Amino acid sequence: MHAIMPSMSKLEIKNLSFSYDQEHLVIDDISFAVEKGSFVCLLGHNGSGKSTLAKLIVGLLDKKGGQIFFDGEEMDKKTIKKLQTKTALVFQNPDNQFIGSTVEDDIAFGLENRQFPHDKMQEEINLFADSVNMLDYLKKEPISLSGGQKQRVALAGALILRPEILILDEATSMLDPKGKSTVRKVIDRIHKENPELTIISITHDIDETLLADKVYILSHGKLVGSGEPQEILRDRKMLLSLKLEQPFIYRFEKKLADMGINSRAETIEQLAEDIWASR
Amino acid sequence: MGIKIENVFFTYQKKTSNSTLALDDISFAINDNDFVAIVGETGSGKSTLAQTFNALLIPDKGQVVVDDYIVSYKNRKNRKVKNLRKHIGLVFQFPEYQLFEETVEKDVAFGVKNFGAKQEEALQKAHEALNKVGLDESYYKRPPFELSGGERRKVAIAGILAIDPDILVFDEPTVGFDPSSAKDLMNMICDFHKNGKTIIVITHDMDLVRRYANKVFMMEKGKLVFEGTPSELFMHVRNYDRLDLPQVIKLALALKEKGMDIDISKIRHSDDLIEEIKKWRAE
Amino acid sequence: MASMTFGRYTFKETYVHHLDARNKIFLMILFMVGIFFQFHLWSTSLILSGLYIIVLIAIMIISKINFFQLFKSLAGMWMFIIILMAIYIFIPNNNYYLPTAFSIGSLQVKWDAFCQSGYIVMRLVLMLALTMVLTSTTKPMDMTYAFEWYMTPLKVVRFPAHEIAMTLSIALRFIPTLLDETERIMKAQASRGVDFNHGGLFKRFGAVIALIIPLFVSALERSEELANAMIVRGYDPRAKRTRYRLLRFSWRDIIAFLLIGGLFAGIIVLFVFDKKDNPLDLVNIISSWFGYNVVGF
Repeated sequence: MHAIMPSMSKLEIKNLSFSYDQEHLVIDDISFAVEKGSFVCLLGHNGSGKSTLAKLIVGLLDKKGGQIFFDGEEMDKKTIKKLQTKTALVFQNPDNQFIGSTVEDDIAFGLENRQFPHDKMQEEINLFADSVNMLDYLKKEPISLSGGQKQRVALAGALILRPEILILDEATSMLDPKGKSTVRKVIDRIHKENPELTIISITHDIDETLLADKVYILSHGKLVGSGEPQEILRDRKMLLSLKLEQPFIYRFEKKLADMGINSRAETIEQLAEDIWASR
Repeated sequence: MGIKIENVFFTYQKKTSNSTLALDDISFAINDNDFVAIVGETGSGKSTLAQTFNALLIPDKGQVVVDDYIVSYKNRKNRKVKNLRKHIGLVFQFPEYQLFEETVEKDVAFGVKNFGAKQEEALQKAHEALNKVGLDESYYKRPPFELSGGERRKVAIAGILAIDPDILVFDEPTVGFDPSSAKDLMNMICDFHKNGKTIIVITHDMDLVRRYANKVFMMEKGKLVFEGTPSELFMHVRNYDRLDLPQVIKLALALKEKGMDIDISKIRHSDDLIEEIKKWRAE
Repeated sequence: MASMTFGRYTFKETYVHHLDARNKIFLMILFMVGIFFQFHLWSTSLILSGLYIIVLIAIMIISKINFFQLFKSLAGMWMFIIILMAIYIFIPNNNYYLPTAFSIGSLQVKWDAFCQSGYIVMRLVLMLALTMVLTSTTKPMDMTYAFEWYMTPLKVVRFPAHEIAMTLSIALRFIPTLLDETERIMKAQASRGVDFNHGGLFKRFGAVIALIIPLFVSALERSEELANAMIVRGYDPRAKRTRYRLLRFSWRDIIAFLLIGGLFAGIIVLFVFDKKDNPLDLVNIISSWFGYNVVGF
């Protein structure tokens, strides 16, 4: 018997716990809620449990304690298959999630699993390949693609299943700057064009969090902070204690404040404006 | 120990329809105890160039001179080449994938043994190297596959360090690391530099270049397109969209555009810029 | 290392490329079986072999096969061919009464020896060329699909046709990736003093270990991540799936089937008429059409 809660949250985590062996808790009593259509960042250092959390949410791992709710419906043995169709996960390693022998085969993989009708496949594939700017690469093999291109294909393959929640597990951490930039732009566009889509981005790159609606900070399996990035990331002491670095802009603002220049800028340009205006 | 690269050419898959000219007449010099950064887009030839330094690849034309060793087509059959790798250690991207021994100390000792050391000497050098990368005795007998990705990478680096080469080449050492671990790793490399080694880092990370390098070489499509200090690079590269400038430099450039009189070449850290702003305010 | 180009898929648009993979495999088998029919008269075998060779060459030209590549691989087999011929020539078998070609001292070299070994070599070359046609004109993915299609009836006895086909196609997809990885590991180990090219048995063995173990470990980690990725996208090997890539028969397949099938049927018919006491003498049959009479062959 599972509970239906009168909650408006898309995803709700309550007292979640997990460990691989019986001793060390990788996820330690975590609770938070994600609103529908929001872009949420899960920030944490390597080993903080971020990837484990992602796997728990999509049901790849079995929780040891706590509850996970999707639209108020609890995830358990009965509902897991159904709820799994609401989520999609893009992993970190571009090669190890590229299953098809060409771009179009890989994007089609999810459709095949869902028994999508054959005659409608080509159109869907073209649509989603285009949404990640890979329409010209449909027949290309993965060996000839860059990391950024492969990750975009992974995104297309995930989105084609029309998930309600898209989880990105450090999707850009193995890419070069060009790859990071193209993938981030695509994610940004996806977010803007799909206001109903909830995006959870797991990262250790603090600059990526500036785009989010909300940031949750993970450390050693515990949730140690949450809030809007603009507020929470200005707390340098807290970030340092968690082995995280403050975004440059906020760091520089602190130094300026010591000089008597007050700025609440969010971009380099705004910062330059504020400095110039202080003369 | 330094490296002289003289008119080096290299083509992949020669004599096939896929042949690509990866190195196109590259010439420059790296001096003893330099901290050099080689930058450029993926595919510009950086990794290819690094592989000519220790004769993993032999130039088709031209030569690379490391101390007494000459890496060139003419010299390609020379078996002494193996000894070159004792003096110049190359750490590839994601080096954690090269580990294979049963224990950490055995794996680190492996390289030392290949260059002739006996078991006890090799183990001793291995322990020293492990300590230098911050892994203590508790790690010696553990299987490498038990360790986390970051720890494995340190073991791999220790494996090259134990050979005690004069020159260390790192290909994207911090890729995949979170900022804190990346900083730790770079500080470690800085220590090696302070201890007299020549350091070459291939990287995309402009902040790394700004903070640590005293010389930068930029490659594009197999050619060397820039040689100089990091500050000079940032001035030069401003018009390129392709390399992402460090944010402090971007800010300095934005202020300069507004009319602030800043000498960009003096900006290495945030504090340098703060000083400049203080000066400007005082006027 | 990655330049093994013999028989690799060529991205062309020939008639043969457009044939259905399942059909091609079937016809290739038919063709090969036909080669093995042996007739009582060498002359007959020779003529039919000649016919086969002509048909095969025609197929190869249509599929734009690189003849040069074929010759290169044959050239690699020259030693084998020489040994084969030597065995037939020098080892006595039941051909004492057959006509002699020439003699070296007391050794009598028979025509038959040349014919026998030549025939074997010819069959070998034909099979090689035929296989090359198949692999050059068929995408590995399509061959995997054809394999799965042929194995499907075995599902009745719980043969995991789909799982094997999926495994095959993933393996194929990863071959270039694994080759790259092998090269990277070799370079990394070489950088710490491993010599893959020189050294005694023990050293070489150590070098191979330093290559294989990292490869294995990486492959295992890779497969775990891959499995997770597949599960997350809804993969269930036992559930029903639709397919994006389908093979379809076309008119080209029907024509090819009739031609090769007809050839095969013809061979069988001739074989049936070829009896020991009344061997099929094609030379005479054909020349009699032209009004000649050839004797004593």
